[in-house]
Amino acid sequence: MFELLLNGFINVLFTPSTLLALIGGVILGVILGAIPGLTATMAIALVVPLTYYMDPVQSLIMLMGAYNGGTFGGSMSAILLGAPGTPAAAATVADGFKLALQGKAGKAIKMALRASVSGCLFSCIVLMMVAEPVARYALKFGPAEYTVLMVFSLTIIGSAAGKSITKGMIGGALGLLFGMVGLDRIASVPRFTFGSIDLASGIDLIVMLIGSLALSEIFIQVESVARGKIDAHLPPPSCPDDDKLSFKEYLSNIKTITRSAAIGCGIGALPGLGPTLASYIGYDMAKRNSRNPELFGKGALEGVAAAESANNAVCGANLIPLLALGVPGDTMAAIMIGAFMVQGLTPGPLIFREAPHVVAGLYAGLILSNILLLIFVSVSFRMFTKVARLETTIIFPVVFIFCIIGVYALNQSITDMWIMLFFAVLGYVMVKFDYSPATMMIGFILSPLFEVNLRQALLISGNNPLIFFSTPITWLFWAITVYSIFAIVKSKKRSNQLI
Amino acid sequence: MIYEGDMMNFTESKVDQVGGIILGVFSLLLYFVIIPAEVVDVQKFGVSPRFFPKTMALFLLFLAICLFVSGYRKKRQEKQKIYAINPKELKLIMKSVILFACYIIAFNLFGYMIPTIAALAMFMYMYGQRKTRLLITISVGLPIVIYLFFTKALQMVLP
Repeated sequence: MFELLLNGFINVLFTPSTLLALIGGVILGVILGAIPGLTATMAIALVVPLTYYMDPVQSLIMLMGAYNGGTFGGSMSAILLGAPGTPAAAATVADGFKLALQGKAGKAIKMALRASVSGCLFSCIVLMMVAEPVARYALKFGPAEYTVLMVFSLTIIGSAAGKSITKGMIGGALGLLFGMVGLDRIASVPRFTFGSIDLASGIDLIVMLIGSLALSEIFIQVESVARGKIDAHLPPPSCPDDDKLSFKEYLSNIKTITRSAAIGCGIGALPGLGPTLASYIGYDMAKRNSRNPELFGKGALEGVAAAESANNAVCGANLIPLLALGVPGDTMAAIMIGAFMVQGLTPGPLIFREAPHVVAGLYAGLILSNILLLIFVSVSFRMFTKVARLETTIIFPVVFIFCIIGVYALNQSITDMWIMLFFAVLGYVMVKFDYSPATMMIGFILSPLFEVNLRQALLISGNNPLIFFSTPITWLFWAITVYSIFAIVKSKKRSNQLI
Repeated sequence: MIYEGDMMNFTESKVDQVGGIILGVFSLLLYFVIIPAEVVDVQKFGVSPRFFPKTMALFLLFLAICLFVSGYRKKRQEKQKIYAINPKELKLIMKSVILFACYIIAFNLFGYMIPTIAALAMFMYMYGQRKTRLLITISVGLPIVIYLFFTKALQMVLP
């Protein structure tokens, strides 16, 4: 294995066309990820046609580079504009943008970068060491196990609720409700479509994200214009240290980064969950285990590290079910399967024997994509921060236009633009009155996963609810859920925020 | 609502009570009007497609009651949070939303380029940009760059 991996590194590093493909993939991913509305998945979808003319290793590592770069790229706009470029960066906004407003944009980006790279490298190691056993274990997850996992995930709403748990839960319930719009996934009947064909496929996660988190945040910032503030969008660093991240600061967050990376690996190995959920769970766990939980949401480096490590760890972990079992975990993995097949390869257990050099090249490419990401962002981040320090009279209108064109480009749909505007207004009102749009996002992400798995489990068991207590995995998740609720109630009681 | 100088001030108890009433009415409408009209009841697939929306409507009703009660209990508290809204800020946000809506309509009618140039220039002017050269350069230059990026580099179609 080691020899194969070494050959993989040599192949990538010393074949100029392969290295160029990887560099191109990473740069394209970062740029597209940084534009609100364009995601990492879109980056790899755009790269796919280029890969028809490449050899298998070149094409796959270019896709992985774009995916890894795109997942990180979303955090750039999250930190600099308060508008997450991708859903995976939604949890980064809370602390990243607050740090930027304190003149510490450079520090926040560096922490996000190092945490992302650490998270992805961690998942690469897990991928190489235990891909097969982890994937086999993940296959034991049926609808009942997923349902209980979703119940646990719903407890994040409680801890992300902010000052009032009731308001947080209202946000979560609204999110769950919006997640039900579209064709019912079991009975295929329309729900809440109001006769519109455009709503039959449901509300797009990105449309809701851009509206409720990005545009609403920009509206909040636009208020400052009415108060006469038309100078730079972000303040410059108050001292040179604000633009730097010391090794000590990185080390002090290593526990959080590792925990989040492990969470990202777990979530990534389970088909259907994805980096957005991983980043929210990583962020939530970091807040609960932090010595300074009160700093979360006010500019905690730990918060940035937690969210970013978790979402990039999914990049490597997504390959676990893909390579070991041939099961696509999410849209990115499904596109990757297509790319494998174009090259005449079928992902699954046999690929380790049939094309070990391709697998080794893919591992090497994924590891090297992190190094390239580190280099590219370290060199170019000042350019990005300069853009964010333009006058508000320029930056707000430009962000508006990018958001709206990005959303239109998703499905070429005018309806999506209206939905985005609706969520922007809703998000703005929610923020003004202390409701959390983030809990609405969490509810929205979990809604289809929770409902479909619960209904499938009940269908399998003939409506017997004991199916949710039928395996050791379900019991484990129930225990974690009960502990989680207990911890939330305890902490809210302590801070007198239960209602 | 209390006016203090230019600001409209709302006490937390008022906001919570009004929020509770709005949410309560919405959840009742959802349960008795919207769900029966918008979600078909299919029984042969185990749990009906109406089950989750109805559960959510009831849960929202419960939360609405909690919110109203908590607002009522806060009524007598001396130290209440005050939600201050500046009419100037609100006016600018409303103008932005209206301009946004007009842009979407114009985008649908006239395509990408001209509405984008006009919207960008109007947004910039509305937010205080008065340098004519900058206004023209950005509002004309950026839509062209975006158009070329999306249509040539990303192979996407803009109307």
